[in-house]
Amino acid sequence: MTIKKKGETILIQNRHLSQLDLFVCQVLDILTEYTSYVIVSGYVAILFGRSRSTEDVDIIIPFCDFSTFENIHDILIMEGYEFLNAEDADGLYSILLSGSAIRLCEMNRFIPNIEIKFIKNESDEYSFTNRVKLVVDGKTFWISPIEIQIAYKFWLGSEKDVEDAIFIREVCKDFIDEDLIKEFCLSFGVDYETS
Amino acid sequence: MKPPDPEFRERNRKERLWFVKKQAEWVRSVPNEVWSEQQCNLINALYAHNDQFPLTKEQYLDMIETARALSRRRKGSPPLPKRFRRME
Repeated sequence: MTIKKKGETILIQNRHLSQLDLFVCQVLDILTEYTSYVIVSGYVAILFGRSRSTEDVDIIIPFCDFSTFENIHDILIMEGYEFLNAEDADGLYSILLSGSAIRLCEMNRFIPNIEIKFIKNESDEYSFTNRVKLVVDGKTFWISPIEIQIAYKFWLGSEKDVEDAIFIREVCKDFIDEDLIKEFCLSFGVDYETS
Repeated sequence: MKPPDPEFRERNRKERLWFVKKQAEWVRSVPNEVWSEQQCNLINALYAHNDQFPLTKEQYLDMIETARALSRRRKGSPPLPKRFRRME
């Protein structure tokens, strides 16, 4: 794997894009017209080469007013997407306000889907504020900082999460800040050394 | 069905982690075209019939909620290191 770092930007070139990547890119192209975002969790590991798929891609967006959300909703529907939650724009916005996530997919294809939620806690806020630009063959993905991503996955604790954390740590070991991961792990109450 | 004994589970867990490290080592050792082509083939194959999903939206969301409720995965947000916490 060749990963380059140009300033704060991470570059991965000559990477084949799967149907999952293309789906995510298409949605992000629309979303970025209206809001900024950060990708967290499993899809970050997949972007770095983990050989697994996922049903859902987790995206966090900052709070926006209803009119902005309605614009996002309408354009997505017009472009052939649907929301899995059986609600109109008003209902979906209420779900977001309640701290829950809404799910977006291509019409009549539930998998893969994108789980969108508003920033709701300090971890989300940290991930969003310090998001990292990852450019894959000219396509931009804003991802959560790798160090918190690894520690957070250890904290979540399922087999899949721990495996993702170890995978990202190994693949990115040339440019991650080990001390920062340890600081997050200590604060999260997870053991970095034995993880 | 009798669940596997803890010793077996632990051995299995260690083997999986060993494999993840081996896979990361392999991904690092080959050009991007190589690992990404294999990843692409895997993911595209898994999505090959995603237009024939047998559940309704409601059933799918119910299934996810149930799985999450039963999961041992932690929920919520862990405390950030003090220097990153929001000033109150």
